[in-house]
Amino acid sequence: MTLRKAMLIWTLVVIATVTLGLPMGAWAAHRWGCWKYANYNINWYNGGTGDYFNIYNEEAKTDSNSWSPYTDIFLNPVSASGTTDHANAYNGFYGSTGWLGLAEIRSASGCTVLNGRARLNQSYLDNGSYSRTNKKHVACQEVGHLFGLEHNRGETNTCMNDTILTAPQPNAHDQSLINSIY
Amino acid sequence: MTRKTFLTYTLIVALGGLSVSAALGWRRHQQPAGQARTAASWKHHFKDAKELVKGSDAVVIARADSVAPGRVAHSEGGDDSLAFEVVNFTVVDGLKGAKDGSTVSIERVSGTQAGAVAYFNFDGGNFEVGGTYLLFLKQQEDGGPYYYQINDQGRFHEEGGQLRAVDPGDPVAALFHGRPVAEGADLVKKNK
Repeated sequence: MTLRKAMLIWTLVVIATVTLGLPMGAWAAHRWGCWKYANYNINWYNGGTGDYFNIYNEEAKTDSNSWSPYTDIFLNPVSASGTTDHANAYNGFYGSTGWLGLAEIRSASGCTVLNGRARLNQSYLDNGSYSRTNKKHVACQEVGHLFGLEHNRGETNTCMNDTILTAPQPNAHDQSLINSIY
Repeated sequence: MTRKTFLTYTLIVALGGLSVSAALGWRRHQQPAGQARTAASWKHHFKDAKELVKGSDAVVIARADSVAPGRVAHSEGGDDSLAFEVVNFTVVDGLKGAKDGSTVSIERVSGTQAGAVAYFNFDGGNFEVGGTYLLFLKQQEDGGPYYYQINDQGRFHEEGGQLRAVDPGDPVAALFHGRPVAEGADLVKKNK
């Protein structure tokens, strides 16, 4: 084979790999840092009140496309918040803060999450501008962060998209990413 | 060139291309430097600079003067609390909604909390006292006395004369990121 022909083929190979590699990198980048719980079995404390208790449970465990049945994660309900392998969920009137929900890795050992907290801000969510679907979207997203996922603005069928409020469930990409982590 | 040599080089080129592009793709979508330990679902999100300016009650270039402890909010269930702090700024250049030399105060979730270190860096983290920032602010809707940073698109730290975004990967923040402060101010004025 001539060098010229080989160069042409290598150029095509580079174009093909770059085309393939960029989305691969983006896929992996929807991981939130290196955070993950020690394993798929996570203690789930639902500290929600009123309908927020239901919303958290639906998004975490009881909806067919919620995190627990839809991915490899198993949530073990516990009756009190904790600091070891715990995902703790809350709601409150946190005020005019600019955010509807917040996810916090409260404590960790290296990349292993020990105590994660999700919070929903009723100061906004209860002001009449947000539907139950919107609230579920935010709850789903905050809990998804705790499991190790970052925002995903590239797809509109996932709650990890923080620019919309109308997709209150993880999508196939989230499922596959979570299952690759755990 | 032998067939074996050609195939070997092709494989090297393919693996190299894949690795480099995957790393670039990862980097392009990656969070800013530093391990984020908090993430927010922001109330506001803007598609372009015009929306960002229009959606802000105040746009200022301001110097952070002091930080003071603020209120503590509790969850409805009562078993979780969230502390806030108030950061006071002197406006160096009031681009919208605030006058030069005036004071604006921003309430944010505190970067340090009683009894535990907290890592609330979803908004860019603690403000550096003495540091200069380009800020897009919203007045508290509940009648509170403070502003809040409108979202992670709305804060830029001046470093070496240039603006640094919280998330340079965001397309709107990228319009300001890396620009000299005066150019960032001009961009705000053009979009008023």
